[in-house]
Formats: sequence, C-alpha cells, structure tokens
Amino acid sequence: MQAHWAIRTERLTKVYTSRKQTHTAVYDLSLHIADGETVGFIGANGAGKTTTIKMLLHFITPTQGRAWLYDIPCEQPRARQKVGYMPEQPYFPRYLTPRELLSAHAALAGVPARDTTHRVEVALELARADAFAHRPIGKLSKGMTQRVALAQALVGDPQLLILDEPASGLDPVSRVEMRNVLQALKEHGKTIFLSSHHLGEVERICDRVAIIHRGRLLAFGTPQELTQPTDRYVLIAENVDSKAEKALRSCCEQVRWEGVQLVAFTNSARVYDSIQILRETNARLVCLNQQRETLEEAYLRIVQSTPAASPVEKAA
Amino acid sequence: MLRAFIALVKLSFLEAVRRQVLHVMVLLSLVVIGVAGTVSFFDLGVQVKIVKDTGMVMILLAGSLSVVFLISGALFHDVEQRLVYPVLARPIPRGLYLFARYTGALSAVYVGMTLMALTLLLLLWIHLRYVSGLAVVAIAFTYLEVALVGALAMLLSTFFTPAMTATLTLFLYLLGSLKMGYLQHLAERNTGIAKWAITTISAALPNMEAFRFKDALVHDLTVPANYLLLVAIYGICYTATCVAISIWNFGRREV
Repeated sequence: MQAHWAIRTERLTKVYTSRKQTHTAVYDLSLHIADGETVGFIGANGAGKTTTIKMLLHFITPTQGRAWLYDIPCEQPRARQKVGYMPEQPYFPRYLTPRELLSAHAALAGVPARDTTHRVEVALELARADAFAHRPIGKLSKGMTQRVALAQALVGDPQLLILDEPASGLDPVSRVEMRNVLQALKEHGKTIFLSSHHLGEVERICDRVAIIHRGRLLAFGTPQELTQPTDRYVLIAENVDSKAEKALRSCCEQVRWEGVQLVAFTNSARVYDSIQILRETNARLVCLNQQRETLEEAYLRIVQSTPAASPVEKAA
Repeated sequence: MLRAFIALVKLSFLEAVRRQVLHVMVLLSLVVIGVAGTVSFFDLGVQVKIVKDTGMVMILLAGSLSVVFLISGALFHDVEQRLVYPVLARPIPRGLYLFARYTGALSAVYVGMTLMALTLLLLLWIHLRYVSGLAVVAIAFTYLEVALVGALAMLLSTFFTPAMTATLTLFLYLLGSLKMGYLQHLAERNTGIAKWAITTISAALPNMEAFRFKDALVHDLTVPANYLLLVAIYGICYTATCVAISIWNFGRREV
C-alpha cells in the first residue's frame, strides 16, 4: 500500500529552541497523500505550512518523526527526483533570463541534454512565461516572476509538485490563469501539494484539504467532508406571480430574479412556509437546496473550535 | 550529476564575475604590474627583479583578497536571498552544490589571475626575450595558494557570517604566512602545555609560505622537484580537507 503514497509523514515535529524560548512550529503531523491527488494545505501565517514543506524537501531536519516522498526518506537527495518545487516569494539570479534559468534547472533535475530545449519550451508554455522568456528576471514584474518560478518547478516534468503560495501577490487575472494551469496539471495526473491562503482557489481545485493551525493538523479530508450543511436553503421557482413574490420577500432573507426564475434564500425555520407559498400560488418549484459551508467558513469553524491551549503549546 | 555540477559552476562563475570587488582587484593589479614593467628607473637586472617581485605579489594579493571576499558571503547570500531553495529542492547532494559554488567563484578569480599572470609573463618576455620555467611554476603555486585560501573561507563561511568569515580567513592567512618564523620561535621559547598548544596550532594552520617561490624567481634560484611535489600534495590535501569539512557542516545545517 505504501508504494502509492507520494507524500507520507509520520508524527513530524519541528521545535525551534533558542536560549529564551522554545517554539513548536509543527507538531505530530501525519499525512498520507496518494499519487495523483491534489491536496490543499491551508492555515494562517505561521501555522507551520512552510516549515512542513521545508522538512519535506530536507531544508530543515525534523526534531521528531519522519517523512517520505514516493517511499524514499526525505533526507536522501533521490527522494526529490520526481519533485518540482515552487517557493513562496521566489528569488532567482536577476541577470539570467527565464530561458537560461530553466536550462540550468533542467540540468539540475537530470533532464538529458538532448531534451533540454524541448523541456524548457514546454515548461515556459505551460506556465505562460514564454512571452518574456528572453528578458532578464530582474526586469520582470512579480506576476511574471511567479510564472517563471512555476516554469522552473515544471521543467523536470515532475510527478509531484510542491507549491508554496503560488498565487501570492498575483492580481485576479493572473490568479485565475495560475488556477487554470494547476487544473491542467491535475488533469495530466500530477500530484499537487498546494500551500495557500486563497481558500476559494483551494476549494475549486483540490481533492483533499489539510488544515493546519499552530503547527497541528486539525482536519484532513475532502471539501465535502470538511464542510457541513448550513441552516441556509436556496429555492429556485418559476411562474411566480407578484403576490407570491411579495409573500416570499416577507419570509425569505433574500429574493432576486434571474431571468424568468426567482431565486430565494431562506433558513430552515421558514423553508416550509416558502414552499407553501409557492404551492398556494401555483408557482413551480424548480430546485430546493440546503447550502453547505464554504471552505472558508469550515476553516474558521474548525480553527475557532480548537482549544486555546492546544497540545502544541503544551509541548512547547 | 556532472551536468548538474557544470550548471551550478556556471551559475556561481557568472555571479562571481559580476562582482565589482573582482573587477577592482584585477584592474588595480594590472595597472601596478604594468607600471612596474614599463616605467624604467633602474638598470635591466634590477628592473626585471622589480617586475617579478611586484607581479608575484600583486597576483597573490589580488587573488587572495578576491577569493576571500567572493566566497565569504556566497553561502550566506544564497540562503538569505532564498536563491538556494529551488536548487536544493533538486535531487542533488548539498555537497555538490557547495563544491560547485566554490569551484565557480574560484574559476572567476582564476580568470582575473590569468590576466595578471599573462601580463607579467609578457613583460618578462619583453625584458628578457625568454620566460623561465620557474616563473610558470611560481605562478601555478600561487593559484594553489589562492585555492587553499578560498577553501578556508568556504569552510569558515559554513559556520560564521560573511564579515566574521572574511576577518577570520584573513587573520588565519596572516598567521599562516607568519607561522614558519614567529610560531616556531614562540614554541621554542615555551615549555609544557603551552609549547604543545603552539606546536599543534602551528601544524593545523596552513603554511602559506610554502607556496611562495617569489624569492627563488627573483634571485634565479633553483627549487628541487621533490620539494615542489611535496608542497603540491600538501596544498591539495589541505584544500580538500577544508572543502570536505565545509560539505559536512553545510550538509547538517538548516537553511
């Protein structure tokens, strides 16, 4: 079974100790991510996301626990053979062009010399960085540099992508483009481990989501598993006359027209009344849905329900 | 792995050749060597001695200072600027990265030193119409000495900040240059633990004087081939040891 895990961590813990204080950045983190999965890793600033990624890539050594990439211990360089990494706030030599940078990284990733040009062009195209591939990196905007960073991660044709805040600092258009690229990579069967603050993006593209708070994994599951049904209902109806509309407006939180359909938002206490109104006025109920939390709401609920003195602080 | 190493050396070299400290050192040395070789104050014999003396000193000084300043801050800069992360996320050992960083910076210094050496050899040829083999040998050992200084700076840079590394390297460089005379004299004047400590420190410090054949070149003395071989082996082993300890320390360090 273990052979299927792209990322596996067992009780991963990182404690930073200085003379004055001890800080537990990550505590007892056990994650199992299958090959081909897209997993969102969400948490507030300082929650332990980047520390976890640093341990996975062996930039830092865990205080306790172990981690494996494709069943190879992280401390071994060959564990990173199938990995493409995009750092948060990427920095590259400013005098190099993206094409030169990618050629160097292709060599580092073990791409054969004969394939380098092709791989570089494919990565630039995938990351939509081909238009400015000849300009020095120092002269590129933040959004362009992010795309170069993504191209750099893709140049070795990795099976596992570890992306640390890929949409950080991007404008809305660039963010949508980044999401589309990730979606395309997901469809190509790549495993994506995505650390992000943008919960909407995570919800859209991730198969599973891990919530980390104060270094501790609070929840790990599909968006469906993490979000709960709410008290909100949405009704969509047709053939609604003015009398019915007026009645609905009195018992619903929000009512609006979308073409010939009337969309009404109500709660569990009044949903039956709303249906009665529609029945009495011969309106046609097209759809009735109980709404679920957004991932953002679920995140806030889970985080806020965590006891103030969590095991992390106790351990510290 | 060789392609990865070459790619890293190239990146390190490109960064080093862009540093102003190297440009200033090379230009200054070329000017001094050029002035010493072209402005004639003395008769030919003395003039040639001055050219040899000045040339060798400038090559050594410029090479050593350049390599110290280039290597002292290299790792620190890479980690602080986060340039190191995309590289270390690749399937390469950290030791390869460090060795390539060292090799690239040293290559850039060697390019500058080669310019100075060619200028010196050209001036000697203009004055004497021949170039002695010892001149080439003396220059080659200067290269080895600079490699050792660079390795020492690399080793210290895995423990200390750039300023501390540069200061300590230059201090050890000076101690290493003085050790033949001063430290042996000190050891002879002491007894017991003090003598043992001074002797140990003296043995651990690099013997920089061993690489310097300037006096032999200036006074046209011959140097036994066996001695040259021993010095070369000493230099290579000392440099390799420094690089190996650097690799070990950088490998266990958190970035």
